[in-house]
Amino acid sequence: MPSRLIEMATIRIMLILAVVLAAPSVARAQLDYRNLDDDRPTLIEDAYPVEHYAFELVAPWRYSRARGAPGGVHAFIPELEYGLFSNFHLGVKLPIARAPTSTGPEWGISGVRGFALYNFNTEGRWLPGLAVRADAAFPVGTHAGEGTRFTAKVIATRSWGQSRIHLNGAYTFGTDRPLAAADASHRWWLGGAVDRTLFRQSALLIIELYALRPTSAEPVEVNTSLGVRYQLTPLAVCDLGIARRLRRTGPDYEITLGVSRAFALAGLLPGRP
Amino acid sequence: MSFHRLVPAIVLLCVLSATADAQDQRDEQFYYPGKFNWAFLKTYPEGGRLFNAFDYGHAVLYERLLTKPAPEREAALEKEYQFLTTNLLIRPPRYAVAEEVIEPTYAKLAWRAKQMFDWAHVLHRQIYDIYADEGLDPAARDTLIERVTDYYLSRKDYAFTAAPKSMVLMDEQYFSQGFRESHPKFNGLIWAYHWLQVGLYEPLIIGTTPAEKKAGVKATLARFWTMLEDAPRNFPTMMPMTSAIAPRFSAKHPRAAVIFDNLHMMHDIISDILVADTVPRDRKRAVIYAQLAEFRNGSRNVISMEEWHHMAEMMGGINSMGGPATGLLEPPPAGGAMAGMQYGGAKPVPDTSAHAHPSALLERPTIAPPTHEHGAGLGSASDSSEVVALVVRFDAAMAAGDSAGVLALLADDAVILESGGVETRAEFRSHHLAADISFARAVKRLRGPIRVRILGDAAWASSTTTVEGELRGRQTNSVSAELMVMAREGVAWKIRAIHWSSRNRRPPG
Repeated sequence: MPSRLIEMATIRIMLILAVVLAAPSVARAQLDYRNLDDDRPTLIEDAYPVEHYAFELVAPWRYSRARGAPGGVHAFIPELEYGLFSNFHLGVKLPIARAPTSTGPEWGISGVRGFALYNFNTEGRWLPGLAVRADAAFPVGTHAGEGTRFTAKVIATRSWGQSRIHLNGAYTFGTDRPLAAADASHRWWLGGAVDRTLFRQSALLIIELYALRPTSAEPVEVNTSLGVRYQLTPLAVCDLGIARRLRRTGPDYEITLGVSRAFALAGLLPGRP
Repeated sequence: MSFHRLVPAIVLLCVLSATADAQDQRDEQFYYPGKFNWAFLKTYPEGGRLFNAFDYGHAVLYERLLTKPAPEREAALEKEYQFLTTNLLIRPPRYAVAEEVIEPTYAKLAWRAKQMFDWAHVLHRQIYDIYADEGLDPAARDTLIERVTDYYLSRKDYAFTAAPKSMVLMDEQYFSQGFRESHPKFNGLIWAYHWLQVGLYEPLIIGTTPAEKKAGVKATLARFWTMLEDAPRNFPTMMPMTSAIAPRFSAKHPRAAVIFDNLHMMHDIISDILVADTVPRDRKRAVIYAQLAEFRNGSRNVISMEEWHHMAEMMGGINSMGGPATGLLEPPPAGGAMAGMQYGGAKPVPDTSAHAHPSALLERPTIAPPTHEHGAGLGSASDSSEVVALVVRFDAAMAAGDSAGVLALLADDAVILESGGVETRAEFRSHHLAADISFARAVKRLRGPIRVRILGDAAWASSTTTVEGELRGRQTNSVSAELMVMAREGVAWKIRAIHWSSRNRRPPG
């Protein structure tokens, strides 16, 4: 599909999502600001899935500029999650990126990603909340890279009053091939984050540190991010994050901005007791 | 997979298995969708936000009971009580409080209990939202309330039964009543919360127009604030029963009403378990979970619906539960509702008082119900209602910037005393009125109860108001006292004198 058409389609999708996100439907709401989703606004996510029967629609935008790169990458990564079972959700992402090519920057689909997350337990006296997540990234679109990739991730969340610590570790199976321009499946990554809940302001502050190796042939990046999630209304959460490399490779800077909204469909809920 | 990769996985599985009995699943579930959701918070933020503060109060109570040794509990709870009543309830959070942040130890100990409470609180709030949604007619509201109750009950692992459970469970177990005996003041606050949480349904049912509902909600809220005055004197001395505090709601939706009573009983039971020395720390989770199972069971230790309806009378009547949420209040017993309980610092008040009908509080900002002195030759409840209404109209005109409306309420010979000076009506109009209106519009005001006394055709109303806000770059945080003197002119009351004074408030602790 020509870049111009992708660009137009992206704008249309963003407009549609904006309308959906602003519609007066129902949201889990009020506490959504504490649900750390991957990449929103930091790479690390918490160990808890969306609620059973809940949909969550996420519309993040990201701009990333790597050291020495000819230009930055804009990425719009709409995402839909659904709490299919208790403690289990499924999701799909459709990253659309504007990335440099040999003929200049072009818009293109950056793969399609499906994923599932299962949470074993909420944290107790001894164990943190533990979850596993599996992703499959399919090579769809001009910016998708090559080959289907499967990633396994382990997630842990532990709280101390207003603060929580999250640990994430992920590994992608398969051979090294060119990566997607946005939302790529790195060979491995490992990171930790600390967040702090401001309960009266309905806001969450996050700081994270992570290391990743994009492919087996590339050096390890060590990056850090700062982020905030804020409950805009009972129905909507916005987030803002910035990231920066700590070593020679990695993003000079990366900015993430997003809004999300949860809802449910009455027809999918259980009937009378 | 190689052996060295397998070992950590096996170790992890062993750890998980060994601790599995102490682990809960998260088990969060989305609530019933519909346009009605959030209507209450939007339409009645003064009530919706207050519920957020209540969530904090419940959570911090359990955390302190669980984590503080007995000798330190009272001081810790007193500190939280002060924070709640002088800070959080006055400036409640915009949205729900993440309770696991406030009660991290308790949430790790008894997540299932937290989830069960959350699920019942969702039902509470959704019913408020349904009542607050003016797009629904009464029949549609009733149908929808039953539907969300069905949805609530469909989650059998987390729903309180809709069969009324026996009070024996709350009062006659080996750990029972310890909390209310050792911490009566905080217990009274929790019961006041429960009184409001069920009581607010009544004005929403009684009101036939949005304005009437709004006025009724404000009046009920005002009664709640009155309970906090001179605490614990005015707190309920018995657990408020939904059938007594919200009789109309209970008649329409008995299942939901019973669920809320079971919820509130369980609140008290957990407080008792947490405080009881007879339940060792390592047994508290098991005992709490056994009680949760009991309260999900609709066939054991239940009473009939008829017995449930009469329970309030058997427990000492509605006045011991905080009084009705709407309508006329009976005079409380001398010394206040809590006089029979042992509270340090509770002072009996020599005069008895009654409260005017809340219909007098139409469009009033958050104001406690008026009191008026009883006695031979003194004014009737109707008189006091009219006097309160005059105060309210004066406030409303000031807040609306309606200078003509303000002046219309002042008698021709009225005098206004403020800032160390005395002004006639004409002087007030040309001097202080504009500034007073600007001030009234710029700040947030929270008025306490209005005390009305009537002697023949003369009446005086006194009250205090907390004032917060910013005017012309200056922060204001003060308490203002107001005395209005009124006289009956024909059939109407007019303001003959006003005296205002104020002082800066200490920042809340």
